[in-house]
Amino acid sequence: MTLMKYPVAKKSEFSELKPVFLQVGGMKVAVYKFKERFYAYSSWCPHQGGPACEGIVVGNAEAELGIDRVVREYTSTDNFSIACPWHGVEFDLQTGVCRADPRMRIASYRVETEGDDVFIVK
Amino acid sequence: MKKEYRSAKFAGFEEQFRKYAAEPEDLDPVRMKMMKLSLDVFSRYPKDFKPLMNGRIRRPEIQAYEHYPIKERKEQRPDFPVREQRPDEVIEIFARRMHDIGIKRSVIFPNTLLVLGNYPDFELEVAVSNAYIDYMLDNFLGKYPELLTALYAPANSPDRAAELIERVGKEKGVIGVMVTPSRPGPFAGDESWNPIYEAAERKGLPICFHSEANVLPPFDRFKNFLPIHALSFPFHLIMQLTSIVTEGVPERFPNLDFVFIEGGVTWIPWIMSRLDSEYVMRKSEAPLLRKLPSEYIRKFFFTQQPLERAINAGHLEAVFRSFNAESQLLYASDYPHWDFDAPNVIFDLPFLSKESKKAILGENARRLFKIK
Repeated sequence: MTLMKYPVAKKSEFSELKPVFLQVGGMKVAVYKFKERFYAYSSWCPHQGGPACEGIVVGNAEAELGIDRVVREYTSTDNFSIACPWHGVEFDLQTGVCRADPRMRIASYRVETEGDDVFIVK
Repeated sequence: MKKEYRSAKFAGFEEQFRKYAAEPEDLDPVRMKMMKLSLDVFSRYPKDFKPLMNGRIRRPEIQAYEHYPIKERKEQRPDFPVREQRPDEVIEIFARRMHDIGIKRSVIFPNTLLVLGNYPDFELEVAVSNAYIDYMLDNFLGKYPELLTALYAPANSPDRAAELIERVGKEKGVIGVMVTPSRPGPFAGDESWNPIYEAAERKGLPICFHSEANVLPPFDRFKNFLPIHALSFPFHLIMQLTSIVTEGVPERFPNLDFVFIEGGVTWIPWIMSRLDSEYVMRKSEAPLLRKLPSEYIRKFFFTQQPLERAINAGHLEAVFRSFNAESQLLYASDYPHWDFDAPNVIFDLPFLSKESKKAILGENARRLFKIK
């Protein structure tokens, strides 16, 4: 099977955590830059078919348990998720796996770079 | 128009009722204060209530959440309209949104009235329920076939509710009697509700219990919205359904249909089984019943939204089979609320036949509500 390269944008055109959208084989795909790496996902939410990647990218709401067993809730500045705008279902930005139910995930695509150019390979 | 809606004038203290009110500036200050107080008491959402989860839910139609914090709405929609929209503008937006999710015709329920049953002033409930249906009749019903509604019954005043049903129950576009299940006073199986049932039966209208996310005790003891929302919707329905069945309303009003809205479906086999078990042991406390509670419940109608996730293979199929979903389930969207269901929640279920999907997505409602 021959792989196709779909040009996305120049690296310099990306902003951190802001999606760049393109069509890949009839599917709307979003490409994100995060900490010098690129991630590409289908913008179709497996929960109810919403436009998953049209939602915000948000720092994960996390919690840690202190030695006194008191919970401290905080918003992560290291880990982010894509929140589907229809119902708020969250998918990990680096894996596409649903944070609440790992049986669900948004489809991911291979991203390659050549010089300043970013491609999706499919 | 001002004169026509004057009966609801003291409802105008609050943004959500403004559209039904005539002259908010005329409000009696004492009454207004009392209303505000009751609003505070009965709107005890968690301190950091964020219905849109800090922007995680982000849709243009979200502006319809009139009761959401203005700050959160403005963050989402800087162009949020401040003026009232004209009926033709409303219907145009409405029809477009419905078309987006594949819906041609809708029965709408007045979301902003869902808390009304808990106001201590029963006259307010009577006034607003009359004003609401008059507003709908004057502006929408019969003019736009894509829009139908159920009249809101002020069930804290059964005789006044019956009067309203008699007055508008046969009007074009009025397809049912909506009752909110969370309210003071006797549950719906009590004979004091008879005038409502008699009037609805005369007009051939089903009684539709539309649940809500209520923060009255004990739900106010939860820390955030997730458990409040998960439990309060089905629990209010469960209480009213239990009262209706155990006090024999289906025997007293055999021609009356009941619909239970916005509680999902997984609780239905639970309450069927639970009531059957109790009934077998304590038949003497439900002497009017001639069959098992579950047999009455199988004649009721339900809506699926928000359809729960299956906990294992076969779970939802068993739930659907328990209450004959093919004939008793009505698709409801709850659009555009944060937990709305698109029609594909039914369409994608692998265990339903094409005919069953068609029935649930429209034909059952067409039959029940006599929609031509």
